[in-house]
Amino acid sequence: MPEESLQEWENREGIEEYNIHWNWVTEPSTSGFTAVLRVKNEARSLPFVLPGVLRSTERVILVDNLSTDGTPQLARKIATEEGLEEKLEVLSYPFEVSRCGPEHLATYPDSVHSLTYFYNWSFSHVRTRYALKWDGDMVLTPQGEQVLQDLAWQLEGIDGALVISRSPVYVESSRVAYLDTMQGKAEPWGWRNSPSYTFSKAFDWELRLPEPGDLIVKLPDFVCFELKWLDEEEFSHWSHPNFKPTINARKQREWEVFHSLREDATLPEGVVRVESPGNAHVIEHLRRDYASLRRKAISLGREEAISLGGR
Amino acid sequence: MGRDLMLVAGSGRSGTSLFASIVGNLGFYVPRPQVQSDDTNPRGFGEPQWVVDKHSELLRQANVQASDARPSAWADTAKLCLDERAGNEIRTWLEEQFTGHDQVVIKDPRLLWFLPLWSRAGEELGADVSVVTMLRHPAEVVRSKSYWYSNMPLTESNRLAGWVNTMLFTERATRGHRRIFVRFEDLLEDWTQQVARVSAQLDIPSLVNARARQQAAADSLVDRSLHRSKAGWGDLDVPGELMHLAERVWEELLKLSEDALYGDSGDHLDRLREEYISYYRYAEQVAQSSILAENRKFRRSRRSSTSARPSVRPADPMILKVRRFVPPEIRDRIPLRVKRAVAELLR
Repeated sequence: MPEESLQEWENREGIEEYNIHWNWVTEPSTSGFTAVLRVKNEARSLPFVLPGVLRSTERVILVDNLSTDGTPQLARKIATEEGLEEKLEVLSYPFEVSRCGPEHLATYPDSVHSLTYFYNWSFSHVRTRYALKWDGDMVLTPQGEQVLQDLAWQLEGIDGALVISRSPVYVESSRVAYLDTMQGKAEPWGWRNSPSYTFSKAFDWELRLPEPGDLIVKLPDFVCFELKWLDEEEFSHWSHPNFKPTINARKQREWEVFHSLREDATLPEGVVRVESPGNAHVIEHLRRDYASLRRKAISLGREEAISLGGR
Repeated sequence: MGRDLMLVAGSGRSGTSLFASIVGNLGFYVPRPQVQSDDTNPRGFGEPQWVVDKHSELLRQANVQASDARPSAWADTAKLCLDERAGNEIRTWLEEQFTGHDQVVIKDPRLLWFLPLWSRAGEELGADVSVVTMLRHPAEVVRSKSYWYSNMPLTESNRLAGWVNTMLFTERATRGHRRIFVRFEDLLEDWTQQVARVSAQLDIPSLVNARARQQAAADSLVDRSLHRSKAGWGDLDVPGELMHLAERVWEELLKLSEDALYGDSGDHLDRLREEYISYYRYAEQVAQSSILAENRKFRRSRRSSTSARPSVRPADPMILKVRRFVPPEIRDRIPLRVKRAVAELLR
């Protein structure tokens, strides 16, 4: 089959405007990473998330999926304030997308309502050598920014894939948050922008695994953390909370810690309370000092770690 | 005064030792013990032994050679740059060096593979990190290496490719950081002008405020006879395309040493890196028959050495019976030679 026809994918609804046109890079290129953020109502997290990603990647594609809180407008405003508006591309994906779990399972992968199709459509806009999946609630630390900037050139001579295990941070207020130091499973977040790297459908969600022979680079834990707002419905993108222990252990842990903190029960093991000193927002405090704070939290015993933030 | 960490990078035989030793006499601390001087560098290397050992260990782990010509080698060392254990070791060692010294200089020809690791360690310790990259014409570098490191079985073409790879990526690694490029020849001609330029560009005023005795000590290190290896392309046996590419890389790097702002866009060097990656990929493909033949030879020699060893013969019923009584987690801990000896006894 000629490559041109492989580069265009149609959807089962026949909506031509949302056909997938891939922009793969197969020749040697120094073009680095494009971060792709698929977002829905992330206005609250975006001020902590977007500046770092804009500073550390070649390009950022923000795909808005039916936000009602002004997420795309805020993204443009943040990029302008950072003086990096030329790096940001905002796209709209105006279809309801099936939630992870049974809803996803019941949706055909070539439907515009499928997570698989949504991801492939979003990533098809990448024009650099590497694509980087990024979530609207993942905060890069300063060291993480430098790591991404370095990997852009370190991975020029090979087909590499990035895996990241990020720790959740549960935000209680502008002053107080809880860091879960228990290490989760590392998952693929970055890969080559080439025909071998597209999303497939799995039972619960979309899937993109590294190719055999890829050099896998695991990013250190100090690179980023993931925000969970304790006053929001953090699991609304799941159609049920019955996580499979074999493959959804991370989600199960998040669900348990989230509800334990919300119900003000005893601090779960491995969770550390962090309080911001001074007037800085606790997320900004964590972002700035995450590497040393995490190191300290892990090196301390359970009792000491719990009292790190003064609870 | 705040902390300063100066990293001296660049290809070996480019004056990195001289530069590190000069600033080592102008207030910067060169961590001890240092590598002993020898015939290849009679006035000293300016290299801390711990750094050399650590870098050598990391390069072995990554299967990368100090002047590796493979563009993919950067991905192999990237994994170690992100290794938290390696990061902790370097940070801990560096912290010890900063005890009692505000200014530390680190030099080792292998350093360029680990610049992100050192920069991160320095920043976490609150130091201002700067990188000085030494430049010397590639034909002279290759000639000098071939002369002084003749025990290493590397061809001039491979040495030249190694220079192109390491210099192109060192430039990329330092882009956006506090950095300066210094030409070896300029340093030999008048070291004071070059150090004054470094002092101004990197904002390290103490370098030019050193005491007279320190300046005299620095001056005593500089000797025109250090410039031993004068060579041109005519002296080397290298392919024309690679020579042309190396010459263009050299010209671009020279512009950076003359005008600090020139490299801000980096477009020319990005294109040269793409060109080199493509060139190297095709060179590997051209040489594929040799690589496959070597692989076949290696596999054959491994097979013959494996078949020479006595086999355990696990199908023996008595062995299988005894094996069932030993839990797998214990079995895994028993060394192979002990297993073999027990198997022989049971037969």
